[in-house]
Amino acid sequence: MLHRELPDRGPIVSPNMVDYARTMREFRLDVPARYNWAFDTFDTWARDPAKLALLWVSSDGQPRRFTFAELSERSRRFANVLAGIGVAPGERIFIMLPRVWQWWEIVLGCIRARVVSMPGTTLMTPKDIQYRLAISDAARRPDGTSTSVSSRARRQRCRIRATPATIR
Amino acid sequence: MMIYFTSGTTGFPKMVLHSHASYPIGHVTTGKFWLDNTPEDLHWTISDTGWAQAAWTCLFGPWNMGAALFVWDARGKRFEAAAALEMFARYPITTFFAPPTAYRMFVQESLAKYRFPTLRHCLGAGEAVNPEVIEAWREGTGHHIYEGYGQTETVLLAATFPATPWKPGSMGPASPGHELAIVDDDGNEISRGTEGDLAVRVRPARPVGMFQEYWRNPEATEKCHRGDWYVTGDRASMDDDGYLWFVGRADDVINSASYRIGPFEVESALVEHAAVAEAAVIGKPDALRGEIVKAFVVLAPGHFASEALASELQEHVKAVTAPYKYPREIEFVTDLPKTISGKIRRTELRDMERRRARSPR
Repeated sequence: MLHRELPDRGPIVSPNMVDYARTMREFRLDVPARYNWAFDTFDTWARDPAKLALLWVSSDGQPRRFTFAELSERSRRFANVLAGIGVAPGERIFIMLPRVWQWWEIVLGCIRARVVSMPGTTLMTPKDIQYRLAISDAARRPDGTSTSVSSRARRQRCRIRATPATIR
Repeated sequence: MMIYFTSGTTGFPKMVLHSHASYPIGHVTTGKFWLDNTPEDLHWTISDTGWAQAAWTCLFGPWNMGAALFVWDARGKRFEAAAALEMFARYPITTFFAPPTAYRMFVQESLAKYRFPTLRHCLGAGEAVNPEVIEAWREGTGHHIYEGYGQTETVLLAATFPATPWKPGSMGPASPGHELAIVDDDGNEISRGTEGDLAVRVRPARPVGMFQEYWRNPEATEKCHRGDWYVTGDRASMDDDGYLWFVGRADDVINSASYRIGPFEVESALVEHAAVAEAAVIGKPDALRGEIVKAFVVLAPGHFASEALASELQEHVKAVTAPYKYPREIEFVTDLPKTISGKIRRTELRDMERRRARSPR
């Protein structure tokens, strides 16, 4: 069972912050001159090939596990897909997906490829989508089709919902 | 690196631009000090992937700390508190975020029926969590709900931390890496205990987690900066201990006969009444008082609009909050205008009142 797959943490000795005043005085965030979160932070955790990154449970209750290493690999492939279909760094991608595991792969892939991801809620109406695509000049929707949205939007939304894997 | 659209409570959505540093690195603050995540944690956030909340606590926050994410794709189902609560016994979830609406539903369940064998730390944000809900959750699970405050434009700005004493109703002190203040219209800090605009110091140093700009909207970017400060658009006060007390969105605060009244407090008072399902409170232009408090009320099933009920609700508000805040006018409606993220669009109700005032029926 999944219970045994994570180490038992035991009693918590102390939280990450024990002295508020001292943390406020001393805490600093370093920003390297060259930095990409996917390569420089996420992939650091991926060095341990067994380390769990995502425990995803489908709507019918089926669990699926992803390690940092697996999501690292998958997001690299998605970054290559973006480059392959001609999405350049700085271009915008509009992402509207339910809580499918592909969302994490896509966002990570965009960060790797230095493509600007624009997540939006699945509650959006065609009018909401149209407004967002227009003001952002979005390059692609996550299924790889072009930007023009019209009355097809609602149908499109259903398709994305039903088969999120069409992007891959 | 990432663009989020603001939810548009006061106008069309704006594009909030974040860099490779602001959200990813900035959310170390969120993941480390608020989520309290470590590489041994399994963190669950209940959120749609489209909200900035997902970037906060379902992406950068936990993964910065090496924690694993738990995600339940409860698609196509109405949110079911019972089904969600069962997850804690089935999977070794250790830290947990839910929006206040979800917690309000959880505490309606008999929590004693459920097991929380690995849970150790709980969080809420998006709006204030009612102190009674925090008490009920603690009674049922043994865990406090640590509240966080921030915006799509920022990372965690303030929170109730395990290391800071809890003051019920306060959003807690500033988060590490941020200097917060209450400022006046000229960007000067004002005295403790006085209500004003909640602001983040951005000069001489802009905190790492601050957004870059409203993309393609320099006017909006300029408008939210005042002197050395980024102005959040929220009204609040700060007490002598540096704790923040939320009043409301600047545009939503009502000025009635020189009383400044936050809509949330009046709405919360109304919702406490059994007949009320939902309420929105605005200032209605008034010749004598400048504005009067007006409430739009959606009734709970089985309750019907009447003069008597309106009076009863007015008396109820007078009884549970300061009497000057009671709604002098109550209108019963079937629903309230909302953004797609579910926030009440009070601006729409205000516009409607202004139109009515111009063209009396």
